Amino acid sequence: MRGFGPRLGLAILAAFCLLALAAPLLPLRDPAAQPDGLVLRSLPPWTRVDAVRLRDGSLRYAHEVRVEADGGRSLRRGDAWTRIAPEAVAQDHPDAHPLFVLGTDAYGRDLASRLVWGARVSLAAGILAAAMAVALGGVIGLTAGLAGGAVDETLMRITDAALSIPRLFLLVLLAALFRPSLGTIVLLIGSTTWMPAARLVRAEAQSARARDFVAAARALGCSPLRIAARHVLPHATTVLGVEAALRLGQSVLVEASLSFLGLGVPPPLASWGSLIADGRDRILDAWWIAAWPGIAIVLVVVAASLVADGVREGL
Amino acid sequence: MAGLILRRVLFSIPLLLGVSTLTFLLVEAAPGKPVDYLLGDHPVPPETRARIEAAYGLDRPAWARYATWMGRAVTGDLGWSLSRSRPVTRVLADALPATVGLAALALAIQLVAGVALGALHVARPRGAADHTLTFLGLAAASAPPFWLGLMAILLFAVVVPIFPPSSSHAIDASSWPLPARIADALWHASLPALVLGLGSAGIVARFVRAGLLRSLGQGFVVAARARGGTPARILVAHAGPAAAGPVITLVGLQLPMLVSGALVIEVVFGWPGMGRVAYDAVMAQDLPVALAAVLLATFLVVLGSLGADLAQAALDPRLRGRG
Repeated sequence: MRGFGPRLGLAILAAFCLLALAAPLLPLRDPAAQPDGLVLRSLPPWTRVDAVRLRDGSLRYAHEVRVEADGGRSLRRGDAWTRIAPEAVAQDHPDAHPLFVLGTDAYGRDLASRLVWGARVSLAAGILAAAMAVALGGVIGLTAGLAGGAVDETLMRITDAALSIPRLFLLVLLAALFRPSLGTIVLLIGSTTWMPAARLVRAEAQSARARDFVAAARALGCSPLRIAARHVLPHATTVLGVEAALRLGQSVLVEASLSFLGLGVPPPLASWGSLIADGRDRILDAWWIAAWPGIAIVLVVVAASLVADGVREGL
Repeated sequence: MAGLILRRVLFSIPLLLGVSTLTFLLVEAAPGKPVDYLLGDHPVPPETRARIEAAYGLDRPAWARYATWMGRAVTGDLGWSLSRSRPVTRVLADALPATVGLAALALAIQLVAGVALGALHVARPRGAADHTLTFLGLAAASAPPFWLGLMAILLFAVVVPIFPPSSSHAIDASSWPLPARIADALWHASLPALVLGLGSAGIVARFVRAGLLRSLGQGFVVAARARGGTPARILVAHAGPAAAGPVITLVGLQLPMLVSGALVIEVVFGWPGMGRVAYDAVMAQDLPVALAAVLLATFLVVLGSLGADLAQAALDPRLRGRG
């Protein structure tokens, strides 16, 4: 990849993918845990909370911690004080001040870990749906471009027709009909976004078909399948690469829309779209809940189009 | 011109037939039967079940139901909305103007902003304003429209209360005179339309820029410059119309995205259009409405691309002669 833009895009994508893959290994809080709905509710970004570490290693969060003379602790949560006996408190570093880098949501869940774990769902859906769209479009485009005639005409009419359906209307209907899971979401998005790839590959196949090396391969007795795979497809790798990168970003967007509408991957999995949906009702008093996942989506989609530019201008 | 319209209309018939068949087949293939949705989780004796199936015609084979549905659809009867207890046609007819209005306003914003941005780039290439706006255009096109909507509500309706936050009219608007009501509706549509339109203005700007740069190098522009035309006049009267073709094609191709975007924007802003209706119908398992909404949205896109073709033909004399 040459140039600053494509490299930056690749770096952003790689960073997000690494974070997503490494999520179980990272020192993150449980993304679904609601350890304290009162103290941790809707904390703004970069908030430190007072807490006491217990002997079993768990944390007790509080609005205020008072050290008692006997070594025990008094915790205030809201207006209520509770006492923790000295023998329940951890021996070393009992007083903790855990930091919530991106803040918490309305249930006191840590947004930083929800964002990283959400990246797994969003990126997996985006990458798999893009792969499916490009593969499906590639096969349809190759078939149309190489077969020509009535086959070509039919396939291209279907492509045109599929392009003029407002995708989200169809997807919302389908997502409601088929119980959503990561697999069905990928299938639904992939099967409604293959059209650009089909058009691009068809154009490449048509220009390759007229060239001498395809005639030579045919004269040598190559099967149509072999001609398509070994002689024509390599000509379409650049357009397919560009389309795959763009499609990755667009699929992340489509998945986010479905999840935002509550028709995406079901809980306990949460994609960036569902995180934005979580923040929708709290937008007035806790803007950060919806802000972070949106920023993450923008970064990934911008990065994908930068990478697409890089592929277009030659690897 | 008449030939063009005729060809488009003829093309839209198999398209709509195809879309309706496809959606019907998918509804058939989906797990779960309509009766289950009607009855819910409540245990019901099989006789009652059979009676309900017979009442709705659900005991007949799929092809027979499809034929009936199609036959009625052709005469303008799209069935009965289960969740709203009204004819589907009525439900959609009530929502259609809101969506068309919102989409038209968004389209106008998208074109004006896109052309202004593109022209700015050509007039002042590589300036600070150009770089900033290009970057903002890319970012806006990369953001989910519903998220932009949420952030716009937060920034421009709450933090800096310029626009009304949601809904489609003021609370007491029904008692106002008509002009005030129209102004009020436009005012409430402005923020969702801005979000929907500005989201893809950056893409339009890229095409405007490319088209202007291409046509600025051509003979007729050089000739106009030689005759002493001012830069502004050359841009508006000579290079502009020549660059408009690809932009209109692009806008036509982007229509499905605009209508899709309208769906989420309507949900976020509480705008009572087709997207909201389709979403509510899906949530209430009201399939006749959801199915008809997909069809109507497709039909809107077909009409929109026809409009784009006609605009193209009006601008480019070379296209007028062709059927």
